[in-house]
Amino acid sequence: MTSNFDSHNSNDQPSSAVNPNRSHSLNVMQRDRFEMLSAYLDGEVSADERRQVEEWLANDPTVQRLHARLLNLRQAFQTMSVPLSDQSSVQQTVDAVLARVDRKPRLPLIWGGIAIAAVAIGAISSVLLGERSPLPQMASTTNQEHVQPSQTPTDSEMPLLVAIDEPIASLPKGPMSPSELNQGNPLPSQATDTIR
Amino acid sequence: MSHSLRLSWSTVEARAAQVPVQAEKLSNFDLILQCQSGHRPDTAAFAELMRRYQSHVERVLYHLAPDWQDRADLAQEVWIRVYRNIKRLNEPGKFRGWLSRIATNLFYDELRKRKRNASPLSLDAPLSVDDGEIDWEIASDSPGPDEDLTTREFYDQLREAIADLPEVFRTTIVLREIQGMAYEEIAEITGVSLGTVKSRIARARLRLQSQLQNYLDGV
Repeated sequence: MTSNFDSHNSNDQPSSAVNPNRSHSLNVMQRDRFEMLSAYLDGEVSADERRQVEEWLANDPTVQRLHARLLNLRQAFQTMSVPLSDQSSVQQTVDAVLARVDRKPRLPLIWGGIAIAAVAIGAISSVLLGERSPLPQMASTTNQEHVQPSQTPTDSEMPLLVAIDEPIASLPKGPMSPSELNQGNPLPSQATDTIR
Repeated sequence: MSHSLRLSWSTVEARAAQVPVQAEKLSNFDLILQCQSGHRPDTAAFAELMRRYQSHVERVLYHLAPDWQDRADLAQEVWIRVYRNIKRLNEPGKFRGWLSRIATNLFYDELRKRKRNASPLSLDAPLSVDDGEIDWEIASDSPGPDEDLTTREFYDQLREAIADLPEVFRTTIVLREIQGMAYEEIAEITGVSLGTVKSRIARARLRLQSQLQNYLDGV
């Protein structure tokens, strides 16, 4: 029995050297089949594809040979040696890694540091930003206390003026006459008038 | 009599406490369990784990990055990551695959860094594998290797051929053939579609089998 692969080859008589376009389409087809064979090797084909490849493998010497090559290639990948470090180099790596992990801070310490930093930033920002701080604040009446005096300045300041101008206790009259008193310091009488 | 018996018991207990279990004598499985116990991996156990698996790490990195001179540094990074994460490994029996994955991920992290700093060539450039053709008419009379010398020469040729593959093809075929990853896993780790993985693996094999056919037919 002839596989699709062989029939495709035999139906197109002109050689690839003579007809490059045909050669290109042949290559595309060959590569599709090669890809399926490759995937088959990895067990990555559908049930239909598996049947197709197994049919080629049963009947087509070319596919059989390619399959054998790929199996050998796989075997070679497994058995191929690579340049490896000698024992002392391995021990150097071990020592270097252990030295590094010992030096690194532990994770809980990192989180602890982050937590402390967060508290510090919160404290600083609350001081610097004041009322605009994103931190929660206690309600206060500071604003009202600031505003009230400016709204009615005279009402609150008057009693203080009165208290200064009026003596706490009445002073006994001295040797100075009332006229002398008025000349020396006219203010008390004026202030008294104002209050009245 | 009873006095002497008590003495011998205490001696046994004291010895058991002094020498827990030597890491060198543990099986791979028990060694990994030992590394997973405690807050941090036990130093002696972890050192032994590194001695046993360093060759595997080197092998994986060699194939992924044959032309990098600083693979030893990358290997150290692999072990640092293993040290920090080994407690998260749920199945100690799958340590080898897990280790390969860590090495591969680190390689890709590093590769991306280097690509950002390098000229914008490589990934989007036309693939040079296209220039190869499959020789379907396989010469049956090609000389087959039948000596040790030829075998050694074959492995040299194979290493060279793998190293010469364009990077995306080399890494994909290595993940498949050396690490035994499934296509889906490779697609995930390399960030491409399943179809691309399938195509890259086939094209890498196409080139390798073409270059090495004289050896491969005679094995």
